[in-house]
Amino acid sequence: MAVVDPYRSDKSYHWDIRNAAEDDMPGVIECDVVISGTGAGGGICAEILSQAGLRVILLEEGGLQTSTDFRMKEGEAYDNLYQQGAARATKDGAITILQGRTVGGSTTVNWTSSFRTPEQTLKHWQDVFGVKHSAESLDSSFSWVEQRLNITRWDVAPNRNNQLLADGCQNAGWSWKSIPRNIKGCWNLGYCGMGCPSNAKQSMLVTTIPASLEAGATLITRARAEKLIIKADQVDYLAVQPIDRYGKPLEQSFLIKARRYILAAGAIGSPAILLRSSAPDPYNRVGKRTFLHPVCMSVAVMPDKVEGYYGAPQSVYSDHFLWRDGVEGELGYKLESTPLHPVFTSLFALGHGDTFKARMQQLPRMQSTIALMRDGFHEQSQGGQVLLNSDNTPVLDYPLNDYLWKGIRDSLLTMAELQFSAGAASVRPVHQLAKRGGSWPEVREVISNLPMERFKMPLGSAHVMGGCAMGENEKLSVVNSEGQHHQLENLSVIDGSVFPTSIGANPQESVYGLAAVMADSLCNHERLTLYMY
Amino acid sequence: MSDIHQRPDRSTPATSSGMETRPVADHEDALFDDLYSPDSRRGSGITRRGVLKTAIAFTLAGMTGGIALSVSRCSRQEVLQGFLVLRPGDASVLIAVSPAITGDDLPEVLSPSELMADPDKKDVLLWLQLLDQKLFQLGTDMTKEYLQLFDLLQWLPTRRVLTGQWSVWQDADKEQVSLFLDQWQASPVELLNKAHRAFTALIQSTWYSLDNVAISTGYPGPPLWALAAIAPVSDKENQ
Repeated sequence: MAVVDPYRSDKSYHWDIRNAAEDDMPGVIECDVVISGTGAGGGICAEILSQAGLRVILLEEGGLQTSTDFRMKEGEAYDNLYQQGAARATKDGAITILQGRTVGGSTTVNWTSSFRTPEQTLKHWQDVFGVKHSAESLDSSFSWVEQRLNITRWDVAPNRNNQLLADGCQNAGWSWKSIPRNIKGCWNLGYCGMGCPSNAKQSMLVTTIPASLEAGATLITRARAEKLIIKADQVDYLAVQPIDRYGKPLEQSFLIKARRYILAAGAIGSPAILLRSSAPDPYNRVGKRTFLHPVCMSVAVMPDKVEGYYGAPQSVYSDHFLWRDGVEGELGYKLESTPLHPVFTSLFALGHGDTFKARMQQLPRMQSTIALMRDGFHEQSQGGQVLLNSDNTPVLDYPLNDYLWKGIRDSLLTMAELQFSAGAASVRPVHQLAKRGGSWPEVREVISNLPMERFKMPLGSAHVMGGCAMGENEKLSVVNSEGQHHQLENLSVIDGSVFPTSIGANPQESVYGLAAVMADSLCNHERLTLYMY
Repeated sequence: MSDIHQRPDRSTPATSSGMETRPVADHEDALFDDLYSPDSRRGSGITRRGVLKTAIAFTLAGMTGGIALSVSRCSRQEVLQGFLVLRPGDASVLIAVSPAITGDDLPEVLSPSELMADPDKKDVLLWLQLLDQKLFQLGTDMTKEYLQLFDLLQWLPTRRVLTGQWSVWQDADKEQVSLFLDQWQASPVELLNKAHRAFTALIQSTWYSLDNVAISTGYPGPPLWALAAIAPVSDKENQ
């Protein structure tokens, strides 16, 4: 059962991996394509472009941490593998944002849930934003991704936390299904969020990035894509800022000269690069309509042990309420569960002192259900805006309104009903003023009276999307359906920031599928120009 | 609890330790009177009016004398040795409030320097270091917000209005701290709700990063068989 760490295997000896914080970097590096970001978008692009014979440089602001470093310790993982030590939040601090900052990006730390983009979402993009993709046109791309990353239905019995979600839905008469996962030989440990220690998770870290390195790509870690240097309608250079392990800039920056520049820094990172570069933005679209799938939570205490810290963290979902009022009506939500480890749990136990501690003591019997709000489909749901802090790092301003609060209150009711259907002894909506209740009518009463206000109702997000919307209408978008920037000829954006709305499902497979299509089209284009040289 | 809001005789120094050495801009007296709302004097706890006054006063202070205040803060309070952002006063606040936030008592700790010297208190030191790193990683603007909160909790006038804590933090008791936390949590003033969330989440999440604390929940830790299976092969075996 020995784990093979690809980055410590024999074949890795000739891989070109550099650490910008420690290694001497040349003043200017030249290549065919530079990709800023090594997550779902960057990883897929790197493999396709490097295997096509293009000289690719991959930039990552995090460090190279691999299975050898993944010790299933929460504090360590959050500090080393996540943006801002896993304490990233929206500008006002009301929504906590979990995003990866390590080689492989969020794919290294996500919970492996893999869904194709829902047909309703793609149809809405076509109708409203003039996006060219459809479920049919993306079918072969999704099939390729599913094969490449071994995305399959999870046939192992769900852990009890997820089984209770299924039971609750079943007893309430609501639909539910198993979640397809990108795994190979999973040990069913439950520590996906701390980096997979057995390399079962088919993240970019163990699939496309090793393949790109094998094909001759260069990976530069601790390197933040700072600024595009623009000349007329072309990107001339990319200025790169080496950063230390805490994300603080180091002295010596360097330049990359490429024929094609790809932004794949995620829905907060990519708009930030464009903002720092003062890239042309005639219709003021950059960083706008950034979505989060804002998440609220309900915690049940079961009569017996749940042990939500063990086993695949997400294996059951329900879309029963996702399109409850049509695509563009009342806010719909997807139901899933979360892993339950002590640090993560401490963030939603709420309260302080004895109240907080008593809640933590219930950890082994806890069941968690979350509702992910499908934001961006209604005129009252315009998402947030990426802004720059005083030190030029990005921050997302995401205002909350009554449309969102109504969806959140409705979902709290749904989740409490579900948990009592599954046999919960008590249910506590995760809200500062909510105490647990022992029956569905009691908790229904509690939820109906909760003030829906910032901070009193803590929210989270692990899915940042939008901010560089794609589409054929320049007034509504930053890039076209192929990820090509509308104003700058040799610039593409290929990551979750191109989504015109949220997805309505965990977004990783949507990024993979679209990135594959975009990279293929780019590949044909770039190879053509290469041969013309 | 009403005594915590009694206004002490202004002629007696309210401070006895190095905690209160931070110099105060000239306008402090005026600010003090303005902040000190009659509502809070009656001992009903933190009042909306008092807090709003504090907020307004601080906005004004930021525009006028606040600069002097922040400059002096840098010069008077240096970062604790071996730490990235935490200053001695911040550590004192954290140590004082943490039992009321986590529900776990700390070993008797009198000062940060004592902490550094005593190996029996290494868990507390480790916790403060984890918290320090977390604060540092937040990024310039968010780190600054936290430090401002720590400042408000140390500067006597704001400390009184926001927490009802008259004496230095070392003398705070758990009930007093719990009382102001309850008020922050349920207050109609959004700023206090935010402070409650920011403060408790920071302290609780770093506290539960300690192995001993994590397993106190009944969480057994990662499965032993998996730990054995991923244990690094030593260099010797490798050769």
